[in-house]
Amino acid sequence: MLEVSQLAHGFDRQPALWEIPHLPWQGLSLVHLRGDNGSGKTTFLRLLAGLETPRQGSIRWTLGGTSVSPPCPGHVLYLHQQPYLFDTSVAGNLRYVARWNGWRGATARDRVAAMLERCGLAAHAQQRARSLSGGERMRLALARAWLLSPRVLLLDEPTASLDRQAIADVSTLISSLHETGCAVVLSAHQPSVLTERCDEYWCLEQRSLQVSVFKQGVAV
Amino acid sequence: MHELMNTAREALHLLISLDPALWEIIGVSFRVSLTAILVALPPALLIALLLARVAFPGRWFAISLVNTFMAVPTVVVGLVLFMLLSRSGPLGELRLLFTQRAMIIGQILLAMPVLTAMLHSTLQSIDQRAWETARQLGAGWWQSLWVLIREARFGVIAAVLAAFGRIIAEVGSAVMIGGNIEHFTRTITTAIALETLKGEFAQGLALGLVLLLLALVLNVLLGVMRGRGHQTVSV
Amino acid sequence: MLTRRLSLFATLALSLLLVSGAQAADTVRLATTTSTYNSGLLDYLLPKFEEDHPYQIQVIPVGTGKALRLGRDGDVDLVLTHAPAAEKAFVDADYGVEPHGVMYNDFVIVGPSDDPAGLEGGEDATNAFATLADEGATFISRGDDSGTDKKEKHLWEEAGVTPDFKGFRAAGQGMGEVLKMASELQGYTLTDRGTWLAMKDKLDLEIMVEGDTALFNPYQVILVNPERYDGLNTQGARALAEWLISDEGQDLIDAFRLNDKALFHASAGEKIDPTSAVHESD
Repeated sequence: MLEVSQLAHGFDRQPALWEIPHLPWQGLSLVHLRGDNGSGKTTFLRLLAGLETPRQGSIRWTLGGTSVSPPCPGHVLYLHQQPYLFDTSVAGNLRYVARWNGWRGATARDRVAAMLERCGLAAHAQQRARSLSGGERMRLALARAWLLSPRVLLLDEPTASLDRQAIADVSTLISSLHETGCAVVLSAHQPSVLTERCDEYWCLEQRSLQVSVFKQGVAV
Repeated sequence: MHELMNTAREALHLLISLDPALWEIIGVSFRVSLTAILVALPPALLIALLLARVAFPGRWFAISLVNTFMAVPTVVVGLVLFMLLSRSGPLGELRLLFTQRAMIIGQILLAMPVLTAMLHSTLQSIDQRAWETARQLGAGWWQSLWVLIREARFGVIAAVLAAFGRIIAEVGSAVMIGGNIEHFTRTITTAIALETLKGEFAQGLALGLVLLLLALVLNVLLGVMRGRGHQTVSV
Repeated sequence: MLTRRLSLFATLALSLLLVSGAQAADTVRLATTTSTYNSGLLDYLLPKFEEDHPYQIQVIPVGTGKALRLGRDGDVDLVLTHAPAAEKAFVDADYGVEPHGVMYNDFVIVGPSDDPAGLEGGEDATNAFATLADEGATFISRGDDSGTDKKEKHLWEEAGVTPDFKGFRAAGQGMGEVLKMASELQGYTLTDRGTWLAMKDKLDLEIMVEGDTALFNPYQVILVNPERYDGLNTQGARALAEWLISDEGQDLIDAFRLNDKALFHASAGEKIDPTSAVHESD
């Protein structure tokens, strides 16, 4: 479903951070992307989302039988480490998505309400989004993305700078998102309850990407 | 001093008694300046967005150009427009000189640089993530643009208020291309100039008070919208 | 050496200070209408006065309304204006003293060469004004309370017309601006002959009506009442006023030419009652 070949990227006029000759991915698993600070985890995720253009090589997603280059709005979504919340209410953030995707009237209302309920934000619906706590902000960003039932979510350090309870809540939410059939790639430089649930590890080191696949804790 | 007090009292009386001549002048001022702002806003927004979000060759020069236009004296705008619209000028056939439309054109030219420069800085300060988030969540190009402007709404309102304050208080081009014609192109500022010339200070002072009050209202409005007194703009 | 230079410098500075102080004491401030100033009459007369008198005249050219206001507020020493009724009120209220008729000039009605209202060649100003109103022609009015504006208002009254017809535009600006506006809009207006002669080359207008006695325009010189304010240069003001109505001043006024045309006619001592020439409603 993801096909990466001969990918190389780096910052302006500097040598490439890494070169990835070939990366096939079924796009079903929960992936933990590892790497030291400065190894280019964020850049890699942004490339997959099409927010940046690779210096060299190609990235192709196969969605619904057709092969496309990113960006794939609504299907492959990248969430910033500090997700951007629009300056309106919690429900308003979701209503934006409804409007942009052409949902109207009762359909839009029902979907927004159901998603707020599902992510435990119903009580905050009318609150200003920017007054939420860190964990709630991440949950709102996930809810906003989930509304579109994306195929792949690319999460940039989703649990960094959250307290223990918030990490637990967010992890639960990401797990259930994954169970509904959305593949997830999440970067994290520290292990957590969330990374323990991952069934695949990608590691950016020695200027390349090492892939290890686990099933019930055993390398296949 | 006594004279000054008398004049002030008379001015207040004119305002409170809703003197029709006074309010007609105020009406013309607001109609002209509001129309100019409404017409100038969309293109100013587009230019500001272009300057703030799109890297193109010569962008720094375009930005300096906008800032330069902001410093052009209003009488120079008046003079140039007069020459263009005069019967002997290239646009003389339009017969626009000494009409409200000509004044609106003049005020658009005066408002554009202020609007563009302020909108540019406010749009520049918007987080890049806002655009990326909107696009990924399925917003079209125009929808993303609209959301960006909405995110910057306080800056946009500040720019509009500042530009409005500038053009409604402007006299140089208003008198040159409007002509200060009673019932047609007589505005608050041209009327003040005339009343002073006539030695009739009360009506001039009353109109001056209106402008002062307007500036106060604009600034308070801005302060209220910003939440708590983060006043960065003066009108 | 250094001390000598310093003392030289000090002497120089001191004497400059004294000279400028002396000038201030000998300065006379005259508020007058734009018509006398723009026509060049004052630039022609005043140097001749200053040659023989120890005074320097500062001219403040404004509309008659403003000129009288400046006099009332004691901001000037004397006024030279042309609005008889307003001048009479000015003197009656004791704002001014010693009014003297100096001269008169005349007004003309000008308009576009295609003359849509058919005024050209007329000699009756009142009739012409009535026609303008009937035709709804474009007419640019000064509307600034100046002497010319008062004259125009009086003519509307004589013609039995309230000036609110379709083409009437009150500009509230000076004569030059109003003439330019009339030219741009191809409308009619009332102007003093001096400003007209000075500007006509730049205008797309022609004289329509002239020569009617109703268009005559008397000028008076009035001293600001010295009892109302301290520090007025009444002595200098009186010297100027007396010189203007002296034989020398009167002859010079008659001899003044603009574009080879006589503009002003000396009239001191003719004892015309100014208010009999023009009755304004204000």
